[in-house]
Amino acid sequence: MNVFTPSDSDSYQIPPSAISAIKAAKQFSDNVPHNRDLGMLVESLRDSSATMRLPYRDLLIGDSERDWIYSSVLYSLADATSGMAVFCALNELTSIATLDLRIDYLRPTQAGYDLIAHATCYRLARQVAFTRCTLRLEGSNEICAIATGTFYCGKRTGDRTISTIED
Amino acid sequence: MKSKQITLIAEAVSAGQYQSLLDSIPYINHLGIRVKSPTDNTSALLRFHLPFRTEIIGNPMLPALHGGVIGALMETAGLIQVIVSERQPRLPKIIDFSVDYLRSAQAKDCWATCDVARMGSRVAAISVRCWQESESRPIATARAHLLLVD
Repeated sequence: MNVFTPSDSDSYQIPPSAISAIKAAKQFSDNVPHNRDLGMLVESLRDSSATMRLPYRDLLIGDSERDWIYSSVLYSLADATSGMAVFCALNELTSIATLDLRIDYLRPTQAGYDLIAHATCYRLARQVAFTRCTLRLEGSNEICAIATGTFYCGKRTGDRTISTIED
Repeated sequence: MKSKQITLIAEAVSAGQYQSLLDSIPYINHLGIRVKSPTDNTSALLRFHLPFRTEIIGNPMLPALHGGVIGALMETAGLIQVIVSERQPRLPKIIDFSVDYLRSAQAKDCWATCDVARMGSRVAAISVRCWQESESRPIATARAHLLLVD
């Protein structure tokens, strides 16, 4: 189990009251079997967004002739990162259910570089969360894919909501 | 010179055996997705099978399968079904892919089939369904557009 160390706190620009929820979310992600299986890493978590990294491995290749990453790898990373953004926005680790996730593959993704996913929960209503996630390669500003998702968060006791966040 | 992948696809289509095609995609091979060809009816849809392993869990508390793995199963079902039923020489490129999650995916095996909704000369529109216990109770449905590659 990955322990939250003091040095991690540099990337967490959030009020101290939220640290325990963020810490729980990171620990949750680090213990998701498939996140570990693929090697996904939580890079940073903020109050309504999450950044995750998927270090490059040959396992991620889909088209060996053209050296492209397999599309479903990007989808898996987008799914994981979008869920983390919702946990951050909720500020508590409750059970959430993905209602839908849509991804647009904007361009082929070249093999050989780490994948970076950044997801924002841009609207948190009382029962439903809305997310947007962009994926790119390490060292590049070109976006490879964009995913939008909706999540059901249950009838929450907390009244924390987020009105629309603009990019 | 023909590329390795084109040769692999041609061999799979002529033999009616598509497992080697799935196994040539490292992530799919890693997930352990199996494909079953219809034996009696060649026009029937292929059936894709994701055997349960603990590595495909996405929520250890419930437990439930990872949404990304369900997506990978459905996306792969779409790619391979289009290659097979539309005799595509190369892997199509996925333009967009959208999954509706209908039920929580329990920690057990999953199956998927893909229906080619519309086949154009350049773009295919597909719909995929995924189920666990009963084919009539899907846990997820998906739709996608694929760009066909010469």
